Formats: sequence, structure tokens, C-alpha cells
Amino acid sequence: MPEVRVEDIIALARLQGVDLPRERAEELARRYPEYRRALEALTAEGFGQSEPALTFDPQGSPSSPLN
Amino acid sequence: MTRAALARIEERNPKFNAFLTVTAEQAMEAAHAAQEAYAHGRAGALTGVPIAIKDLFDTAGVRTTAGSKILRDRVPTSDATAVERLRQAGMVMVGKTHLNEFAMGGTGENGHYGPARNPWNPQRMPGGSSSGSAIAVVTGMALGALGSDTGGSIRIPASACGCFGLKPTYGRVSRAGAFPLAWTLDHVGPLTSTVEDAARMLAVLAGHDPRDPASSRAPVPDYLALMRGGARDLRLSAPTAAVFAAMDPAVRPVIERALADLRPLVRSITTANPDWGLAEAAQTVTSRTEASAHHRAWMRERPQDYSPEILARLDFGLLTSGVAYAMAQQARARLRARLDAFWKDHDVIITETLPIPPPLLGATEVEIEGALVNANAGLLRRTAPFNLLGVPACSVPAGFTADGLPVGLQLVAAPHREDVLLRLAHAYQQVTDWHLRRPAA
Repeated sequence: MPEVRVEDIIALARLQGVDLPRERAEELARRYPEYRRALEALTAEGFGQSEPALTFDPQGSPSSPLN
Repeated sequence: MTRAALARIEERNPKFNAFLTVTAEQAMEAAHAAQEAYAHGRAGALTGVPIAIKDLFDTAGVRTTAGSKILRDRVPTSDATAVERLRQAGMVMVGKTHLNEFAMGGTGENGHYGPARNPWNPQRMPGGSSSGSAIAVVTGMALGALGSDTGGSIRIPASACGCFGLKPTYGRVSRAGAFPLAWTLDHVGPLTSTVEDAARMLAVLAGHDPRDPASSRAPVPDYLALMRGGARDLRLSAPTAAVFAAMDPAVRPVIERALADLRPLVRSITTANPDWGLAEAAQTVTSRTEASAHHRAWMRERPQDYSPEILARLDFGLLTSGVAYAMAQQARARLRARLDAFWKDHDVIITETLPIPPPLLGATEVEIEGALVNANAGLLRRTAPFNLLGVPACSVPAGFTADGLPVGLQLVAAPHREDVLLRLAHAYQQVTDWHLRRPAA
């Protein structure tokens, strides 16, 4: 995963409709390596196109992990 | 009981900062009503019992801050469902307890209201986010407390302060009227000294609530009766050698002794553990993004009213892609399938609740397995996976480090098997007295 710069964080926030002040972006850039580990762990797992599929139960809460 | 609790609050709260609001007048009114109820044979399950409520739960007419500056002056007009049920059972609410800001954290610190302090060593963290609830129980300022748990927020302070804390199955206890942190991870449960008291509170709290869309319709069993069923049939899964090696040297002997004490009580103890793989990563991504979705408007309109630490965590949620969130849910589904298979041959998973003793207040990093990690992440390491999976889990007092700091043993069971946790923890409390120890006044 490439290094993330402060400018990248500001641009990414702008794509989300958030005008992130530079100070907050710098704080995120400082903390980002730790958060990146979580993201890298998930993307490195390489889930297959069909494994496991996310499901939705129209009879129950879609967000319940027990459905 | 109420006068004694209020007297202890007056004496001890300035030192430990367990309560953000004390409801003395209301408590005495409820205590008098309790006396009347007893006199006329109308006593409920909790009549007259002083209970502390985490300041995340709406309480009609009593300010509910969620540990925040933004909601500092908010006074709800109705009770959260959990509070309503406790009132109907006759509880005496003595006050609203300290928490991490918006329940976001496992430390018991708060940038707006100051830190709560560990009653065994006030220079140490009490754990969070239900910090005040745990302190209140251990110091006798309340006989029971209500907490919430999204990554460990009942179990962490229970372990750090030396009381029992139960996170039931997802949806077992209504979250209606509790300020959300992460919708698919939030749980509600009790903190108490004894397992029996927790079973009493759970019996009152549990049950379907149409106000909570995730509320379970599963029937509520007789927890108190089931609790007394013993543990002789239970098959336990204990930490592996690698997990033991990762525990702080101060924690390890306490857990080893706890397992030795459990061995005669149960059917078997093996060391087969499921592979938790991506649990920590999936929980982090899920928690941050769901929290950010809820806080988005305030983050835009009044970011200056958040503590910098909390704002940074919420900002990460804003920056996480939908793809990452979807993959976190895939990881969640995979872990759940793995755990479903595991329950065929095991009834309880045992871990340490905290791999380290409660850190010093203000610590931003802790050492785990020879590496420095973020303090908050370190505190959540063993508890967060079970929020992701929605299974019931508790922390039971298991002893103390050589420095006199509490150590908790985490027990985890299959969905809706709170009875298994209560049976095992109760049996353990019959042969140990850690839950009866109290810090020096």
C-alpha cells in the first residue's frame, strides 16, 4: 500500500463531501499507519468473489450479525 | 441501603470521579417508595436496590451527556428501555456514571469531564467506556450498574476494577434510548459484584423491545434458576501457549491459577482455539465507519466540541471506503461460520479479559508481546472480537497482580447461551472470593 500524504487525506475527505482542515488531516496522517494495518489485513486476505457472500434477511434486521 | 450508597458517593466520588450526575433527591424518593412497596407486598426484583446508570442511557428529567460536550446540557423527556425496565423492577437510581466521550474508548478517560480513577490505584485507568459503572459497584456506591459494550466497554472496566460484567448476546437487551456508537456492535448489560446479582438484572433487562430494530424475540429463560445448574457438563477452551506467552507477566499467573481452580468444576479443558484472524481489523473498520455515519453532521458543524482523540477516530471512519466496510463484513461472516463449527465441541472459550494490567492514566501506548501498541487498541484486543460476532461474553474477577491490580477472566459462549456463562461464573464464585475483595476506603 503506498504512503499516504496529508494532501491525499484532504482530497479523500473532499470526495466524501468533507472539507477537512489541514490540522485534522495532519493528525490523521500521523495516526494513519496504525489504521492502515487494519485495512491492509482485510484487503490482503483476498476474499474470493463468492466467499463468503454478504446476506440480507428481509424478515429480520439486516445488520444483525446473528441473522 | 440508599442512604449508605449516597454517603459513599459523597465521600468517594471526588476521588474516583465515578459519577457525572448524582440523583440524591430522586433516589431518596424512590427509596421511600420501595419501603411502601415492601410494606404492601408489592416488591419487585430490584425494589430498593441502588443502581448506577451509565450516562449514555436516557433518563427522563435527568441530564444525559453521553460523556460529551455536545450533549452536556441535554435532558431527555423519557427513559431508555433498559432504564424503564429497571425502574419498573423497583431500582433506586443513585446517579449517572462517567464514561469515555460518546462511549468511544476502553480507558475510562474523558477530555471534558476528566478521567475516572481505578479504585485499587487512582493513578491507573479504571478501563472504559463504562468506567464509572464499574467503579461504583466496586466501591459500594451502588449495588449494581448498567453499562454498554461495543468493543469491550462492560468487560474492560469490570476486569480493571474487579467486578463482574456481562455483555449478553446482541439484541438480548434493548439499546433503545442509549446513544449509539456502532449499530451492529452495541450491546447493553449489567455490572455487579456477584454473578447472582447480574442474573437478577439480566432477567429484568432482557426481552423483546419493538423500539430496538435489533431486539431479539428469543424467549427469556429463568436465568437465576439456570445459574445454579453447576458446570460439570461444560467443555472449556483455554488459551494456547502462544496466547499465554503474549500476556503480561503480571497477568499470566493469575489466569493460570484461575484455570486450575476451574478444572475440578467442569467436564474438560482443552487448548483448541478458533483462529481469530481478522477479528480486530474487521471490528475496527466496522466500529469507525458506523460511528462516523452517526456523527457526520456534528463533525461538519461543530468539530471543535469533540476531544481531538475522538475526532481523529471519527475522521478515520469518514475516510474508510465502502469496499473496506464490505470486506470487514465478509470477514465477520467467515469468523462466525468458524465459531459456529467450534461450538459443536466446546461450550465456553476462556481468555484473559485484558492482556495487561490497567495502564497508568494518560498512557497512549502499552507494551504487548514486546511491541508498543496504541493503549486503547491493546485494551480491546481480547474483547472486541466478541462484539463483532454478537456472542455473549463476561468478565469475572480472577485475582490480582503482585501490585494489587485486578485481573479478569473472560468467558465466551454461543449465541443466547448466557445460561452457560452464568453457570460457570457462579460455580467459580463459589470456590473463590475475588469478587468480594474491596479496595481500602
